[in-house]
Amino acid sequence: MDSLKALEEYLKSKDNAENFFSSSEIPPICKSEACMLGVDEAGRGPVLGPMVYGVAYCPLSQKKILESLGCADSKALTEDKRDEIFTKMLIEQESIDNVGWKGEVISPKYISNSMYRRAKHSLNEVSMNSAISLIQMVLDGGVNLAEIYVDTVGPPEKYQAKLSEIFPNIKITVAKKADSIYPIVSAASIVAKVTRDHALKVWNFKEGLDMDHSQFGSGYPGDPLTKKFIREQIDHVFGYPLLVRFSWSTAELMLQEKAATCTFEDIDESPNKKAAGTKSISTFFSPKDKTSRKRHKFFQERCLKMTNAFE
Amino acid sequence: MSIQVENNLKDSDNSEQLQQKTHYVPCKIESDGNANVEKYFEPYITEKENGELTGTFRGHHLDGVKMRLPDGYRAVLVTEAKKPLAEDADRRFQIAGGFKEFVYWNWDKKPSKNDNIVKGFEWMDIADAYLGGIVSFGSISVELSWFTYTVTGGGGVTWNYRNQSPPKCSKTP
Repeated sequence: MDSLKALEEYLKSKDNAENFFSSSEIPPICKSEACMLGVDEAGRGPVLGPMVYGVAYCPLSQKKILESLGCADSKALTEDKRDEIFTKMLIEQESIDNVGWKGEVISPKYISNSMYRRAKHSLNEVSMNSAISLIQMVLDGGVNLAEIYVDTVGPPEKYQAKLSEIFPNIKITVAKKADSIYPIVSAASIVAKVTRDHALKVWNFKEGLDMDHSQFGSGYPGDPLTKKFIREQIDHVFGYPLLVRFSWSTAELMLQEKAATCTFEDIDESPNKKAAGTKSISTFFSPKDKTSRKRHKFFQERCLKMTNAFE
Repeated sequence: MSIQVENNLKDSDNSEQLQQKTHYVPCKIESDGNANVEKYFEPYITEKENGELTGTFRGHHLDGVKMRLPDGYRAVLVTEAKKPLAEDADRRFQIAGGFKEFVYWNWDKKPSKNDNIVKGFEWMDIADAYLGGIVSFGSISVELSWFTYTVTGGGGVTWNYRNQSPPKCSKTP
C-alpha cells in the first residue's frame, strides 16, 4: 500500500459484511530490537459502519520518528491531518523501516450479530478480542514486543489483568486517553480512524442502494445526515441495510416505531415461572375450561395442533 | 364449517409457482405482503463446503440448512379472496404458490434433528403407518413464520398429502 487510494482500493475489494485485516509489512528491525506497540479503536459510537481496531509498533529506540510524523492526540487532529500522517506512514522510508501497523475492520453485521447472540457478546468483549488477536498476530509475525500501551473507554484494571494473563512477558499499560499520552497509541489511533473513515467512503451496499457517505454522513447518531438515513432508509420487513448496527438503540427504537414488529424466540428459560403451589384464590371460582384438553407430549413437543381439514 | 381449496395452478405453465424459493425464519414477523428477500436477505447468505448456511435477519445471526419436505408431500400457500363475515361460514381458499424445498433457519444455533420441524416430520411417517391414509398436518409452530417473495401472503402455509385433487390438507390458523 503506498497511498490512501491504494487503501481505498483494498477496502473496496473486501466483503464489507465480514471482518478483515489490513496491514503493513513488518519492518525487519522490529524483529530484532525490542518494540513497543499501541492499541486504539475508532468508530465505537456510530450507528453506521464498521468499528476499526488498530495497532502500531516500532522499536523502543525510535520513538522520535513517531513525533516527527506528528502522532499526537488524534482527536485533536483534523481528518485531513490524520490522512496526511497515515500517508507518511505509507511512503516515508524512515517510517516504513521502523513503524509497522495493522488494523481489523469489524463489520457492522458482526457487531449486531454479536450483540444479538443467544449468549450476548458485548461490544467490550468484541473489542478486547480484536485487540488480543491483533497483538497475537504481530507476535506471530516475529515482532519482538516488550511494551504494550492500550487506550480504553472501559475500566482499565480488568482489561490490564486480562492482557497481562495472556501476554505475561510483556509490560502492559492500559489507560484512559492513552491516545493523548503515548505517541505509539496515537499512531494506532490514526491507523484505526483513517481506516474507518475510508471504509465508510467506499461503502458498497449489498442491497444495491445507490448512496454514499455524502448522503448518510459520519454515522454518529447526532449527525443530521445519519439521522435522516436512519429515519428514512427502512425496509418494512428487513429493517436496514447491513451498514447499520441493528443493536444500537437509535436503530432499534426507529424500527420499533416504523417497521414490522419482529419477535424472536424468547431465550429466557423461565419467563413466567410462578411460585409453585400458590394458586390465586380467584382460580377456584373461575369456570373450568373443559375444551382445552392437553395433547400428548409427542404433539406438544413438536408444536403440532389439530386444525380444520380442507375439502 | 367447511373449507374448500381451489387449485388454479394445475396447468404446467404454473409449475414455477409451485416451486418457490422459501425461507423458514425463526422469528414472528407481523407483516403480510411482499418482502424484498432478493435485496435484503439473499445477498447475505454464505454457504460452507459442508452445506451449512449462514445468514442474518434484523441483526440476528442465522444458521441454516436446505431441507426437502418428506416424500409425497408438498407445501401450498393459499390465499382467501373474500373473507366471510360470519365466524362459522364456509370458506374458500385459492392456491397461490407452493414449494417442496426450503431453507430452514435457526437463530444462532446449528440446525439439528432436535429442531421442532424435523421432529414434526416424524409425525408424517408415524401417521402414515398408523392411519395409512389421509393425514392432516397442521402448523408446525406458531412462533415461526414463512415468507416467499413472489407470493403475497394472506393465508397460511398448508401441507397437502399426495397430489389429490382437490387436495386434502389442513390449514394453519
